[in-house]
Amino acid sequence: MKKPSLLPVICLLVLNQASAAHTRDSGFRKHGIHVMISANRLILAANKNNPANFFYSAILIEPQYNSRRHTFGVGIYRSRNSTTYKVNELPCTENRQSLSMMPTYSYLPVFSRHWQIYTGLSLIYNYADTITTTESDVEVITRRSSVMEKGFSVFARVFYRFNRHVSLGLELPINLTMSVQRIEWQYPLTPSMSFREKSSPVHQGMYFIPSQIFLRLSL
Amino acid sequence: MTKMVISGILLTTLVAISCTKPPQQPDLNNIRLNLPEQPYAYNTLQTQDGIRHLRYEDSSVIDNNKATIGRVLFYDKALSINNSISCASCHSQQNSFSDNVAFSKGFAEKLTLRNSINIVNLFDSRSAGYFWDGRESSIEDMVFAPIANHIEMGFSHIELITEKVGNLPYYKPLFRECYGDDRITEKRMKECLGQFLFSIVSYNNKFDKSLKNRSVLNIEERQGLYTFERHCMSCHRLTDEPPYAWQTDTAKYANIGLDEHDGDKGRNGLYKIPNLRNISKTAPYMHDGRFNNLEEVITHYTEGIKRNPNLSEALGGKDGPMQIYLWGNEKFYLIQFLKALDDDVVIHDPKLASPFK
Repeated sequence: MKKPSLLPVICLLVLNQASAAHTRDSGFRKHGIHVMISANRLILAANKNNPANFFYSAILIEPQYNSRRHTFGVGIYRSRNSTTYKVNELPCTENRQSLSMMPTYSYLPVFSRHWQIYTGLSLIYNYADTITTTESDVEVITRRSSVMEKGFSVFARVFYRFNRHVSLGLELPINLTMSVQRIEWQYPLTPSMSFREKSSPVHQGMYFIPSQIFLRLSL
Repeated sequence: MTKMVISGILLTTLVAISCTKPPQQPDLNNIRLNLPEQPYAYNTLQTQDGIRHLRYEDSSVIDNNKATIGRVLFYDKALSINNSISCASCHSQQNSFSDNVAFSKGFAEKLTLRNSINIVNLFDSRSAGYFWDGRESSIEDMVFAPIANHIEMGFSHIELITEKVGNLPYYKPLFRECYGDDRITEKRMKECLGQFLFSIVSYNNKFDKSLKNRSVLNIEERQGLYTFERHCMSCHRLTDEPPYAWQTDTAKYANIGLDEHDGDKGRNGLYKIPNLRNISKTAPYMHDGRFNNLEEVITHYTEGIKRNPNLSEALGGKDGPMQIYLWGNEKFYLIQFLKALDDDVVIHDPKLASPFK
């Protein structure tokens, strides 16, 4: 993944403006409820087959509450899709769903009338479940794959405030996660062949270019 | 407060996950087999010479009940891991128990490594072994190999095949009728499949009939027979005279032959000589299906053979290659004769057809 070359420049510009505008304090709310929504999907084509990335290709919604410079939120990714295809004329269906919850704390160190920079920490709980069925005249074979991913994320967020209610922002996260995959095959006609297996934990660190734009609505 | 309630409702809505119901298992009792009350006579074949008794690998007469079970097993897709492929998927009756593609699709739609071989008249070629490379010498060892093969039928835990077949309700009455009890064992399954395979025979083509009366063949076919006898018959036997020989015919495509399985590096490229009965129904040809029609095959033997240390003596041996020379219309006549090896009986015989409706 390429490092974002423009990011340091943007950060410097924002910080410069933020420190100058600090005294005006018009971008600061003592208490507030917000909803942050990913305005586009983060699609990492190079890593699209990575099960972990599946979580980050869905839409995030994060309800937030802020008290002065401290913001608490719960990011939620939710995705479902179903694919049907044929293998030797047998209908196969793949139902995939995932749920991610990310309790988040962020701190607002600098802000201005239009710009806000947050740094924060999230806990990551991701769960993806894929059930593949192959239907024939004699049995329905089922393969179920579940991935549980836990970890935390350190991030920086930059928001541009259009007005009191609408902001657009970018996020630069660094994620450290541990994932475990469980696979289960069910052969109803051959129960002895059915099996479950659990993978060894996979640890990985990932960082993402800030290509996902967030829309934040403040009530 | 209102803001909090709105946020709570939003959160709850988002978290709610609806469950997807898995499809129901099919009712196996609804499966009906198209079998006659009395089993077909797999042990005999009506030929122009009268009734011919068909024999199993050990020369015993074929058992009709065992062959009946073998027929069901042969056409049963449940013998593959995902229930998508049966033996008949690659050995279809309409293609004279061969396939019409160079490489057949396996259970996961991967292609097999070799062309599906014609399995008619296995009794006549049994001494040369089974498969293109003759790696199995016993029909009962051969019949489970494609079922366990990771490309073909994918049932890698082959020892569990009896468990699966035992859970299919239509088998137990057949085994009870045949063996006196409904125990389904590997040995019984292999025997039944083998018995059915040995009942797939062709002895009713024009060439067979011409053995008594040559005028059955027209003039072009007789010319072709003459050419065949001179150039082809030393390897491609048309009667039941064992044994079949081994042959290699090219360096270009010879990759793995007998030596893959017996460790004899000196036999690379040697393949079993296939049966030519119903040859016009079994295109494409050769172990890799490289030729689409008979004309291309014959052209290969007249122009295309390459030097190979294992080249058959009949094709020139180490000093080869020795091309076959055909004059005038000989190629055309030869093709006419090869088409006279067609036997529609085996293509349309109901006792060899799928029992699944």
